[in-house]
Amino acid sequence: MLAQMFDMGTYGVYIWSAYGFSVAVLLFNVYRVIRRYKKVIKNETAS
Amino acid sequence: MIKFLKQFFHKCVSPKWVHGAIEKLLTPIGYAALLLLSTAFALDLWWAPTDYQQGDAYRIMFVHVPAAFMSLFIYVTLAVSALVYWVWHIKLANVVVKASAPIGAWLTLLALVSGALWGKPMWGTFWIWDARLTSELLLLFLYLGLIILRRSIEDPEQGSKVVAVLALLGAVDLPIIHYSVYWWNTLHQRSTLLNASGPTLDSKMLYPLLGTLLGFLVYYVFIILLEIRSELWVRRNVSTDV
Amino acid sequence: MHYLTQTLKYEFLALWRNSQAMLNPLLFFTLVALLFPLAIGPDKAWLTHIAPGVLWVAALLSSLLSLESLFQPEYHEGSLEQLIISSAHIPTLLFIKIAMHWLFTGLPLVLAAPLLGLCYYLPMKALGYLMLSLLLGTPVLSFLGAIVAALLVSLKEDGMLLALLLLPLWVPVLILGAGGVMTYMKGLPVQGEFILMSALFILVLSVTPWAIQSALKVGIND
Repeated sequence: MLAQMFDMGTYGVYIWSAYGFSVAVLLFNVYRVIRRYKKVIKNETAS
Repeated sequence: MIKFLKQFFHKCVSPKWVHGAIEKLLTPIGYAALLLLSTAFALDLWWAPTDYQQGDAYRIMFVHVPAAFMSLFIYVTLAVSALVYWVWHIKLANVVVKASAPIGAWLTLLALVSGALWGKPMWGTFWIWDARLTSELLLLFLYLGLIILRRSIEDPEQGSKVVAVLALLGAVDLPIIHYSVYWWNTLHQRSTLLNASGPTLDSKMLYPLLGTLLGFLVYYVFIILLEIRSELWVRRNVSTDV
Repeated sequence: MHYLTQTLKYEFLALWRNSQAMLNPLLFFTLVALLFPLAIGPDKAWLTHIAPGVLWVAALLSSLLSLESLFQPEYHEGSLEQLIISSAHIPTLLFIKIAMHWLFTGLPLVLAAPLLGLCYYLPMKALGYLMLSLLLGTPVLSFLGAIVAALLVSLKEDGMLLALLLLPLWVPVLILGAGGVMTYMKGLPVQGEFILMSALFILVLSVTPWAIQSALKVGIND
């Protein structure tokens, strides 16, 4: 059952790569923006 | 209604009001995006039925279509903001332009990559030089050009103006992308959502798709609000217009 | 009309006297076009097949380089700023300026292309259509390129940035131009491409002078 869910009917590689890449892109952009915000706050409130 | 909209737009010009609004909205919108996207992805992968023709591979559509839609939607937002900035010199519009370019570029890349991963099992190729894919690739270069251009000009104000003009020039690519599947003989399929007679997609597939699309939209709003907040902090001492 | 004919004469003479700089784009075009047979080998079928694309891309690259000489010299001199704030009808002045620039940088490419086409074993009729497509296309490249060149005029000479920004914008012209010649070579009707190219030509030449004026105002203001 879990194997079928993972394989997605022989297309598993493509589907999981696609979803994996999307999650990675979405998470990376949140990380990037939050990191910038933290840096900006540090710069602006330190001086 | 018109009065409310007018008042709203006037408030949007004020950095102070916008900052206050963002502080209040950011957490709810962030959680909303997270909730929407995780539920949507779960539905996409497991609730939506297996396609008769394409098997499970069609599930990439749930990522590809929203990403492609967002790549266009973000550019439209960017171009409209660029116009607003150029004509009325409203600095917040410039912030939207600046913030939208990177996320737009990433989502365009996602659209291209997910499309390639969908294309290989279904149509036998990762890439084809047809009108839709080529014009979407062009869009990626347009986004990258805007980012690089802004970094190349030392004076930020000058840079913002130049980027705004270039953004408007690049907007010409947008109708080409959208209508490419009608104007040329392409491998890429035509629109199933924006049809005259309503979407031709089964509801069990339509709702997860719309859900994912909504999730991406809320996500974009979240990212933009975060970036606007950062920019407002950087510029808070610049006491220019409103 | 007096100041317009004066501008025409001035631009023409400025370019005519600086003909060495104008020769460079043509030489570049020729060199790039000659690189491909050297790299790919003299296979006749291959060369005929890639000829329209290669010649068009060479024209694009050459136009890219020649755009740097459009506004940069006068910007550094200071006379470009004077042009922008003058009370003349600036779009018309800009049209004349860019048209003259094309005459010296784009037209040589159009005239040289058939000769290079012979090196690629292109059939005679295709040479004619290649010339026509470049004749309609290179002015479009110049005028569109002038907008971005105007935006970047205050930057230190960075041809790479101009290329990065301009090549995506030029792609439709490239596809229409090169694609048209290839369609013509296959014997298929090219009315579609030809009409589109002509329409683009008319549209771009009539509308861009105002865009270039705005771009110059943005680009110079620093």
